[in-house]
Amino acid sequence: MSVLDIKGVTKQFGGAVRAVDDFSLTVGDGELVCLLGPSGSGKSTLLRMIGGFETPSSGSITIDGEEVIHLPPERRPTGMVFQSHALWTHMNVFKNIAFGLKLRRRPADEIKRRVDTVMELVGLTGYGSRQTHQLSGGQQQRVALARSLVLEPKILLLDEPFASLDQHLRERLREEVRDIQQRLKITTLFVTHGQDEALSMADRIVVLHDGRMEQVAAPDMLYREPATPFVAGFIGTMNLIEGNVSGGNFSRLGFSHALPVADGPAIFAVRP
Amino acid sequence: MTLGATSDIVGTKTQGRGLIGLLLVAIPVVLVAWMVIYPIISAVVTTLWMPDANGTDAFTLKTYRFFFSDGYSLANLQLTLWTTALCGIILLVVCLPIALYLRFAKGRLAAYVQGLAIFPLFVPSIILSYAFIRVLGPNGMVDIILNAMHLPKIRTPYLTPWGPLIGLVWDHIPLTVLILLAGLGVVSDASVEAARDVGAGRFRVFWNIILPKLGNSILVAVSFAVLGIFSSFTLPYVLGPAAPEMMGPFMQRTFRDLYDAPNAITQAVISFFFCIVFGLFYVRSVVKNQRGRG
Amino acid sequence: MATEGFVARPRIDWIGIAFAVVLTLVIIFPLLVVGTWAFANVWRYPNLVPQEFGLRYWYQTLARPDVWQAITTSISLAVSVTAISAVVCLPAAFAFARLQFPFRSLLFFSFIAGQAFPKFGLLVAIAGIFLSLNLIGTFWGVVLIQLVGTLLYMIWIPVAAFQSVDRRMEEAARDVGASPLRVFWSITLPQAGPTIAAAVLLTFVNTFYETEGAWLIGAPQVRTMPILMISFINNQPVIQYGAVLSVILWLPSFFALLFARRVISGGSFARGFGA
Repeated sequence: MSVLDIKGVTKQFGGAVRAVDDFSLTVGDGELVCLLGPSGSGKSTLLRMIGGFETPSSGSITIDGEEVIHLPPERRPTGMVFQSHALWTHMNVFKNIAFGLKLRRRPADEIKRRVDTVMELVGLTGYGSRQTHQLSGGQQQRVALARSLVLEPKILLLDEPFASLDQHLRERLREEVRDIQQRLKITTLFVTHGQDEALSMADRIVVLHDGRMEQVAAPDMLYREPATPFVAGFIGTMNLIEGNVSGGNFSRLGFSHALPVADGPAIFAVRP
Repeated sequence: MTLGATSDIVGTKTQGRGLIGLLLVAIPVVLVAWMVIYPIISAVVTTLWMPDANGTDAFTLKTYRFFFSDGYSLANLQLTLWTTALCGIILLVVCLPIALYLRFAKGRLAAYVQGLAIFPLFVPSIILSYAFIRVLGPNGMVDIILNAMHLPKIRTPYLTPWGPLIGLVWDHIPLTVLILLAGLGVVSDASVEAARDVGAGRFRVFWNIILPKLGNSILVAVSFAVLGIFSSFTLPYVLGPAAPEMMGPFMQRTFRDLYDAPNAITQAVISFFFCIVFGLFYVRSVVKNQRGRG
Repeated sequence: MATEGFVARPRIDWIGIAFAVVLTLVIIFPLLVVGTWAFANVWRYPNLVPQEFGLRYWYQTLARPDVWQAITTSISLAVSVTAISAVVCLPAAFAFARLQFPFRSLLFFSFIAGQAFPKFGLLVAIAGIFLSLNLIGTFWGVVLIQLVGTLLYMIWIPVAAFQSVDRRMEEAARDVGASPLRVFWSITLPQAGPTIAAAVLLTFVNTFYETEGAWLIGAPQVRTMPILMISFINNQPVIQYGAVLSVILWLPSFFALLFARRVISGGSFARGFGA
């Protein structure tokens, strides 16, 4: 139900190093966009800027047309699920989820109704009185998700939420989150460094490298038509052969292949 | 724990935060400045700048000259130095084996020993003094037991220089053990095992592997003990002889009973002087530790 | 260095047993003797155990006005000092842990300044100042001097506590809409709470037993329980009064033992002393 518009956002942490370099993206209503890239590509920094935990050095971020850069995190219509789930260990599950509603001074019966609904949504019915340390890793992440969803944020931000879970659990939670996201039609931004996660969940994927956007496209487009050598090497398995093109022919050592591109050095990418 | 980066949590406005921070820490900082730094400077100044024969203030060393020419004062100083040095040595001899044992032993017995070693922290010196007299004093428990076994009596250390010595050692065991244990924590099991693997026996392991790494902790433990023992008051006052007495009771008597503030403060400055090396070293260690961690 | 797997026969920890026996004798035994005296109606030399047990001296000690006066003085002193220390130091600790301001590091480490000097010498230097301020022999003079002794640990321990609160928890709270002040109240304080509570408890106990400052500044007008104890040791021919007073006096320490023991046994406590 909301549109996220990022324009020319740059983040510089002292010195010349740019964690995020002139990044622009529009996320459409109800879309799930994955920010994919290796460690240090700037994806988490970008997410934190959207959530309000970092301030961009330049650029603008608007949600539904409203500039949010000057808003502190507690006033932004975003909900963040942290990698370390960041549950409040001194509160039980119910209180963790209800805290945001309590801050908004909702009446007690409304709080109970909404918390129960969202607990059912994430599959944790009946867990309200459990303490956080009594939960498994997967259950803790569900609570973190519920905590954000109960407030019906305009933009849902997920920062590598499944990184600390085992493969099997990761795949299951991945499907559940995608399912919930599509049911609620909530605009979502999902950070990960695992391409299978991105390829299976996202409507569109943004590939990041050294703070810059390499390509943004739907998963199959990314796979079939990578725009840069980095994306080609990063997505799927790929053989990269360096050689030369002359007269419409790519050649390297004894191998040649007709290629309708301009002359000059080139990299020939072939999927096995 | 270092005084590391501050979090973003107090909001994006960074101006004006400096003032709030300073205001919040103002009172404790002022207290430290007024009640620690200022008295030390004042003590040195007031004992060096006093009214002379004409009543005008002048630079003078007369109280210091008095102290160092007065047999009684010198005897007290000597007793204090003797007690402090001996305490330090005994503490190391007693606590190092305990710390070594605790570092490498596991199990319930080791936990019990550790609990015992730490226990004196929870016994206030007053109760310790009283217990000391009840056990080692005249007609104390030791006397009773020796008597029951028909053994000759031993002379009680109560009201001799050995009284405070025993008490001070007892009192300082926990922190010395803890400091040494923390220092031993730096020595990894792997380095010890590697040494034993190439054939080092227990003594060699201690001398060549553990001791070099432990050096700093030992110095810290000694400094901490020296600073505590040199001017300690309660145990020497209750358990020690009336003369010579340690610097603590001496200062107290000069100040309160003799109403002689200038000489008492002189004695305090002299004890600062004797401890300054240990004090600086100790503070430097703490600061380095706090900075280097976290 | 325990070996796992096949062990022919459990090795006996002779060294451990030796330490345990010696330390039990040296540390526990004297306190047992005091405890026995407290419950001895009659114990005449050379008996190994009291001839008669009983609570007679408990009634007698608790009937003494000087004992009650010392108890109230000690408690009111400890409560005042701890309360003032908490109010003054905890906000400062939060500032040191989380806010940025000029001279932050320097001011933080200035609290260790007092530790560089022999304690009683420092007390005498302070007493010199108090003399000119007419604070000798007053309740608030003793409060002030004991307060200074609490500053280091009431600042450094809470700073460590505040800094160890997981920042993500605070960010998550802001994410759901909590203002910075609300985050402090609902998240930071409860998370840092147990450690801060231990620091407050230790401060109370240490102040309760503080003898040197109280003696130097307060005696004889302000008499705390430790000071009363000293006078019992020096002037009191009846042994049991001291024994009973010792047991009563040990109660706060006993509670500290129960609640702060784990904090003290941890390596971080000793590292706070510079290990």
